[in-house]
Amino acid sequence: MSPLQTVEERIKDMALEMGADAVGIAAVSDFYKECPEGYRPDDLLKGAKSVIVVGKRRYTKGQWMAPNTDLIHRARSGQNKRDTIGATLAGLLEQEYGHAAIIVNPGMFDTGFVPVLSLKVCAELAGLGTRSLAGGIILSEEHGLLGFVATITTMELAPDGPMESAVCPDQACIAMYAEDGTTPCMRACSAIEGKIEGGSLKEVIFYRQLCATRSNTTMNTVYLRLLPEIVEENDPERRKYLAIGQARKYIEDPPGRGIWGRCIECMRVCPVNRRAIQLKGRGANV
Amino acid sequence: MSETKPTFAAEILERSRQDSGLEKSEFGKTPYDMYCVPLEVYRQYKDEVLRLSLSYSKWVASEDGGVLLERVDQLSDAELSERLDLDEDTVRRIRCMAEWDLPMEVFRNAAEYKRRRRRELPAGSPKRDIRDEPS
Repeated sequence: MSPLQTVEERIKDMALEMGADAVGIAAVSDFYKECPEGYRPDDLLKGAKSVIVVGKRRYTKGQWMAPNTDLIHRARSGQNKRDTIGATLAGLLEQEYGHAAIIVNPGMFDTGFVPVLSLKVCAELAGLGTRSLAGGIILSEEHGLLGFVATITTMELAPDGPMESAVCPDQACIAMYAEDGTTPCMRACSAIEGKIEGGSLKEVIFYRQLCATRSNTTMNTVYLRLLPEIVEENDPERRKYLAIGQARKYIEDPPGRGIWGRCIECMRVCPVNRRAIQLKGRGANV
Repeated sequence: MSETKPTFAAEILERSRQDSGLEKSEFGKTPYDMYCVPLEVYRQYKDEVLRLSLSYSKWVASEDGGVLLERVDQLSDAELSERLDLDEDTVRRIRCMAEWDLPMEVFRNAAEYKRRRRRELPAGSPKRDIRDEPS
């Protein structure tokens, strides 16, 4: 660490060197308006003051273009060091600065669909993007869709705060909405509704329960959802094939795989995301 | 006459009861009663719980014109319990019962939706028909 480097700069440099695409800091006090009691950072870590949020791209450009959803989402877990970055930052804060730290990743749920802490709110308050019409996904002009991990700490750090202007709606979407009353993401998915007024988002509606059936198509929990039908099937042969047969193609194959986030149709058509995933550098051909 | 020794499983059960801190009235219930609410309660509140919780999320532009949208409802179980005048545990049980309580067809439709989107809008992807490939 250079003597002139602040701790915030050190944290960000370390995260970026480890492969983060974006990193920002939010103040815990900013969560009070955004999150209900029980779901704020200091409900998880007593005395928490700051939340460091790491954003990492979830797919390569090639994956975005692939025709097979299984290929896309399986490869994601292999390329993602996101949680390791969050844990390394927590180690730095504890071992060198003497402040407690915990990480929160997207797999941490309280009960049912309710996360222990909203990583979307974390990213928004750390200035990594703003809410989009596409289900409230936090969209970054530079990186498009990102996956996030949060490191909560008792250390007081200078927060970056939310961005000053909204990433969504894009100019192309404003024009499309004026013409047709819809946008690419709304047209792509009926879980998304919203209104644009004066070039800004006026209202965003997200049928999360519908989205969950698409993003969790191959989750083990969906196979569990099939269990009542399997049990109720009276014919033993039909029961057997209901349990092991074609339904598994849609649901869970094999049980235990548990892949999340298996739908990105709203982001595949989002103009902001499409710009962000364009190939750069020598030989760029898309 | 010597006392009958409890089975090992009964001993484990008794120890688990001591550590749980639950009232005696909570012991000996059926699995349904341990985890779920009576069906009439579920049917009465299921829709409201889903519409007021994260399952239906709504944000509106803030009056100050700031970049942060304001959440509408998206209530926690504690907030829902106040709104619906139910205890928090009952709300949580209803929500957890309801979140996956959709017809199986919705999940089949989800897979078909994604496959159709990829066929109709390849977005630069190869024109490969994946209909008959194992998932």
